Amino acid sequence: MKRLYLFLGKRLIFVIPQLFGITLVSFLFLQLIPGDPAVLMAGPFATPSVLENLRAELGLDKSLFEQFLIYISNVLRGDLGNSWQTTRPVAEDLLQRFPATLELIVLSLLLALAIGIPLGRAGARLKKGVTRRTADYYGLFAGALPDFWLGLVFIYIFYTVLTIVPAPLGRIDFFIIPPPSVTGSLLIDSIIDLNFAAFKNAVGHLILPVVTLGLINAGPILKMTQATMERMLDEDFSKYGALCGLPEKVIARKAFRNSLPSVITIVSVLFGFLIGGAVLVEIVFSWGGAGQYAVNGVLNADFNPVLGFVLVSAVFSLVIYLIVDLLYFYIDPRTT
Amino acid sequence: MHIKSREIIALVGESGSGKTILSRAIMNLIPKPGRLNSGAVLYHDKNLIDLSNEELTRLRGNRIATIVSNPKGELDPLETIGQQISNVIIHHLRITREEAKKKAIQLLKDVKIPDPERRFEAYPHELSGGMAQRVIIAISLACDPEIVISDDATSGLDVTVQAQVLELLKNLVLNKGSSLIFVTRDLGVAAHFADRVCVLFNGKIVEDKSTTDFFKGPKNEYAKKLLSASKFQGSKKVNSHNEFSTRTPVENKGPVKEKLLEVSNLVKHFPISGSSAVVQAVNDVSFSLSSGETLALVGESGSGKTTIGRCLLGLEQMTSGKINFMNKKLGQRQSFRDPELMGKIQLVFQEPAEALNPKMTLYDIVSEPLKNLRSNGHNLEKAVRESIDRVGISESDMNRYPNEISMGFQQRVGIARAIVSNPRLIILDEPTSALDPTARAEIMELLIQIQKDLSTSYLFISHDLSAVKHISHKVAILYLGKIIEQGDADRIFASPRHPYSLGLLSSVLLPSTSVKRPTSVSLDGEIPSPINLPSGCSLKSRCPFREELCEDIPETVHLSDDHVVHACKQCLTKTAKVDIMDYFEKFEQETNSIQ
Repeated sequence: MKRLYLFLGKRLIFVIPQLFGITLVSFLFLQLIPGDPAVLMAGPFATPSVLENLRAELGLDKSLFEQFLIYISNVLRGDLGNSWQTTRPVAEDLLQRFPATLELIVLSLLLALAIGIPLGRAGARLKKGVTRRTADYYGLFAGALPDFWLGLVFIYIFYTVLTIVPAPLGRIDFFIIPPPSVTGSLLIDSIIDLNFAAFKNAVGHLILPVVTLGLINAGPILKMTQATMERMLDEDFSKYGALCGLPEKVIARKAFRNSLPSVITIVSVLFGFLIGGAVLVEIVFSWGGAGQYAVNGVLNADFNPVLGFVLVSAVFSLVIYLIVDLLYFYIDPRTT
Repeated sequence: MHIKSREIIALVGESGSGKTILSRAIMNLIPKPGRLNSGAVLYHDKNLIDLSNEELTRLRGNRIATIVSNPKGELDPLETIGQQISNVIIHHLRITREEAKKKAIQLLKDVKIPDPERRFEAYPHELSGGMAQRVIIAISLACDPEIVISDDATSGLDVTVQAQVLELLKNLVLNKGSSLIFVTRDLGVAAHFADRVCVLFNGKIVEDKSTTDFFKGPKNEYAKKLLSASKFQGSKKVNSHNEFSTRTPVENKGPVKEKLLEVSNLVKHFPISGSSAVVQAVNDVSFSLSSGETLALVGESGSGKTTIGRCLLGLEQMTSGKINFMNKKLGQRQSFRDPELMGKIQLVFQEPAEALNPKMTLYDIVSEPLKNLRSNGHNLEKAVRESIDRVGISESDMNRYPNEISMGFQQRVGIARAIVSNPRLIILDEPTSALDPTARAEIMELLIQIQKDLSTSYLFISHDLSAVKHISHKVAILYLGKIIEQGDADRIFASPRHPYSLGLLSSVLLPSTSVKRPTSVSLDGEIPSPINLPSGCSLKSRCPFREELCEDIPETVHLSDDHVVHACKQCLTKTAKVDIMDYFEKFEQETNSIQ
């Protein structure tokens, strides 16, 4: 137990400086984006004095250093600034949009794991045969297909032709009253509210984007599982297992357990990537997720949403990495 | 090949002879893409080759068990050793987890692992190599197998631990009434533990004889060669006294040798990050070496012998101490050193394959040290050709790559690279321990020849004591970073006085059946951690002469001009009475008489 506390303490100490560093770097990089927010906000026909006033109001006339200090002190009070596009506080916007993205990517990754791990395990155990070839081709195709394209194909097949899924316009049909927001996840909230009509509708909307992202992201999980497990089956301890007369099933289980750290790593990397990287799929399905929000911010020199997005994603990624470290710790007795 | 019940046979061969494949074929577990083409393996009149995979799985580890080398890699790093032993028991004997645990703890007790209840919960990375090997033995004996195959099981262990483990294995196997097959390249193992010896060469058994008959004289040419290589029946070391008196004629009698290297009070501590403790790798070591002389540093792994070599080379910075080389003080780091001394100390590594850059030709590898020394092109080429010629590599091979030549030749390249800068001192860090017996004998002969020709000095770091005896003039025996006995090699091999030296020398398995190994002075246990050194006598926990409360403080005693020992008085009186160290002498007499 003492080993665990020591381990956790060591990890947590680094969280604060990491967050500070991420904020600073993204703040500085945002300055490189061309475009003056004041001009974009006031429109092309604004007089210089109006622009001047607007700049002073936004604090853009102060030095970069001062601007950063102001931003940081606001962040510490929980204020992420306002977005001039939505004219709402960024914190509120993100609170609405992040759960949408998280619901999507968590479900997608679960699906990806459900496909990737069994296929990867089977591929590693069998050197030839149909399963092995399926696994090989799957990895190849999943890596080659763009996710938004697959999403569009699915929409065409299942919405336009077969009409068995609802229109790809957001998370729930507008004529359904959404459940009151508790966790932000429509599925969980509608269960809490016992609103099964909403649950059913939300599931219908989730199916296509989740299948799209899940199928694509199963590729790297499959490849990683197969490659690591093949290596582990080649290790001395697996051969020794055979010499000891352990059944092949048991040896495969041991090898899989030894390849878990790599699988967990690739899942955590995919998770961090998808927070922002699911944006194309979000656009295709008009999901209204956090990635879409941030991209709009970048395109319109609306800095606060972008900074807010970066900060919240960073917190999520750090939490994920902490969980990953704890999993390593649980799996591998050699971790310190 | 055949084996009877309760018989112990040794399957001897060098790498590539097919001995491991043969031992795997018994259980139809040949590594892919190999497969069995024809033949039969009869076990109780049942042909194992014809059995289904399920039937074989039930036999493996149950009736026929294998012990493997590299014990730490063979155990699953994520499972406790207790679980791993239990798993095998449960699968074969179909008993409950509770019963399996009881049996596993009993097995751990049988293989003499201290504190077996606690060790049951240990993970493989928490064990030393010797302990892990014991666990593997425990697993192999778990189901009382009829045949145990030991595949080079102890080759990675220190001599002292090797002797203990083999002794233990033999006793356990015989007690259970099983048969044992030793697969090994070490004829010493065969001589001391086997009833029968089978020699494999190029995939064929070329000699199959009872052990005593085999060591009296094998018939087959290859078997003869292997035996004589194992006994080093080649040229003898440079007799320093005679050679030097002829080379440097001086008026007064006796040899006057130029002092080359003087190390005094060398200390090297490694701090452990995140704690105030230090690893006391080398603890106040002094020795000296003259030109054309060989000093052997001997000890188990963890005794600090490699660290001393690295300090001399400047690869490690010594914590304190003084090194004088060619009458100049050696700085701590290489960059502080006198440029004249560059290239005057060279190194030959243990693993020849890893020490050579696989992307460079042999010529480039050998010429590399000179490029650093900025010698001009013409001289460079001449020097490289000379040293390649000297180690017996033909000029046509100079443009080949390391992976195209055998391990023995790779080590020759390593030696050529060391001598090309015309060094005065070569540090040989276990140069033969990775090699097969014949290659080992050839390399030893080469080293002796080079010393004769160039009068280079060697610092020979090794735990291969028969090689040490063969090449060195002086011996220093290290234990936990301290020299506990040093002096003239012949004297020390004839009458060692420190209890540790006795134990160490008695654990060597000489390839002969007629000289008996003195087991009464064997060492117990393994070398303690150099982090928390035991107070007082450092050998207290393992000493074969220890009594209940041995609190004596060791002191340095000069037994004669060239024999110093660091031990407690009580022990010295006891070791003086021990008259069993004619082990090596008898062996040498026997070897010479055959010659």
